[in-house]
Amino acid sequence: MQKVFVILRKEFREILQQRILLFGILLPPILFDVIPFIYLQKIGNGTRASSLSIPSLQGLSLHEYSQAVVGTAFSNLYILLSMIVPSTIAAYSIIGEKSNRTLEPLLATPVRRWQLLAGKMLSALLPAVLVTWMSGGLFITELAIFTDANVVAHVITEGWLILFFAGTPLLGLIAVSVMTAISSRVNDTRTAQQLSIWAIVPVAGIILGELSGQFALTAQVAIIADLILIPIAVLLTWGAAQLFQRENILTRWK
Amino acid sequence: MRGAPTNAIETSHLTRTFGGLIAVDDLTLAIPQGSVFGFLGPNGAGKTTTVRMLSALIATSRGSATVAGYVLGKQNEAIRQTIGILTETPGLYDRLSAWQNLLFFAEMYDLPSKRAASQVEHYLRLLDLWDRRGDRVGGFSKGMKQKLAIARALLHEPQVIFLDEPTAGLDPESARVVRDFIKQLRAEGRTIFLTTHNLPEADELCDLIGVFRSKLLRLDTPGNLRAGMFGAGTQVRVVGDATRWLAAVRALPFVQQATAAESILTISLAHPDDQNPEVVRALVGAGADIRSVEPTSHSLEEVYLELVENEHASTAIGQ
Repeated sequence: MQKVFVILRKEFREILQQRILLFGILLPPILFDVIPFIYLQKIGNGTRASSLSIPSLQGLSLHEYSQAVVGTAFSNLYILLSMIVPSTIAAYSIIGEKSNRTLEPLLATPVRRWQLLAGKMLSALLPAVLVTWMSGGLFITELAIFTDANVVAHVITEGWLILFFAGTPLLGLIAVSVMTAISSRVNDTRTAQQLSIWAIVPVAGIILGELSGQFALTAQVAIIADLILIPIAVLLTWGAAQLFQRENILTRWK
Repeated sequence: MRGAPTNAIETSHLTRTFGGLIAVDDLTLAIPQGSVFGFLGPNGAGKTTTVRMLSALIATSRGSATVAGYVLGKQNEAIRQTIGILTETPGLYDRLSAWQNLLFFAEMYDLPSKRAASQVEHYLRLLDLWDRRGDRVGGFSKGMKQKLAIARALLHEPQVIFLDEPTAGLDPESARVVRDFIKQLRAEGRTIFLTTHNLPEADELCDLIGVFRSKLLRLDTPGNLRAGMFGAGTQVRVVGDATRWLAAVRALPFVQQATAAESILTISLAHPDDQNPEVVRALVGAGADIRSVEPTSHSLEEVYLELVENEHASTAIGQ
């Protein structure tokens, strides 16, 4: 594990030196916290309720319902955040290393493939999970402060908490694995990030389904979702590991 | 198990193909420990592929090799631990400082933290980069980056060092520093596998030279390569037209070939050191006034071009 930490330290040092990357990591969570704050502040007693009918919000007053709709919409963005942030870091970490031609000297060291891959993946995953959880924590605090008493319990449900704490690391891992695969075919970080957006689409679709009242994010649904995510994450990580071989990187990666 | 190698690198019929393309074909060579081996060849000849195979970065298609006594394919991690490599481009982390770059690699080579720091300091001082240790590498000149990359290749004191174009793009002063450094490494008993297009540099540094174009065209010492290609010989400068004395020289039974151009006679001899006195006696006896007698010199560049062009021509005929 020693070398994984050495790689992690190097990666974090590099991340901290890149203002654009830091901006890319911090901007989405900041926006996700600031926008609902503004909405929740503006929702007054006279606000019309959304025409959406969300099962989990039944029984709330019109005012509470309005707050809860905004809260639910944004609560789901934190699930997506766990995919956006690691994609950004992984793009810089792997493609940056490739385009700067620093990969070959690194591969020439006696580092094992899993150590290098773990270092690279964790350097993207750990900050992403940390940023997602911190940002989500701030959002819960905002809800507690700026909404009516009933709203928090309707937005921050058991299902959301399970998906937020157990699902986001898995989604982050999926995003990093997808980015590793993309890195083998693409030479610039922007293209890689654009391509990685497609990995978010299925998750965004599911979130939209919940928001449109197609299903409720109950604890049971969240556990099933996590159980589905585990094999997907394992499979994609295995695929990334297959691509991340010295031979492949030096002879087949573009 | 690692044996006690007399040769730092040994390859036997080493081959690498990419689909239908043979990048390295049947390479067999032995590089003695403590020597500098010059690996010469045109761009795309398969030199980088060979270095990548020998440094356990990519697999071989056929054949076998040992590097520092470790068997390629079976003891790859040990090989990577034992060798140092300077790749074609320095490949340094521009946003990190010189110190951070080297410390990272020292730790990747498993050096304990105290030794890592002392090794980093040692090489930064040795290569005159100590005062810039805290600066970002992105702001370094090409020469400084190259020196830093060489330091990186040596941090773990490898016994076999692969250097790909170590002086490419350097100013003459920096190139001299690097060449002297390579000589110092050889004096310490390290084996250096030097890939270069700089033929005078190869001539100056190398004990053994391999001319390569997908396959090994010639493997010998620089001196033997020159002698073997063009033969040994003597150039005699005379007063006046040299053609007048051609007959006297050709009359000597041991002269293989003699030509004259203006005032210079070029004579091919099997053993110039032994036969030169008799040549001089014959010329003086015939009435020639001799200005100077010098050994015929051919540069490594002439040898290299001859070999590569011959191979190119034979390939074209074969096709």
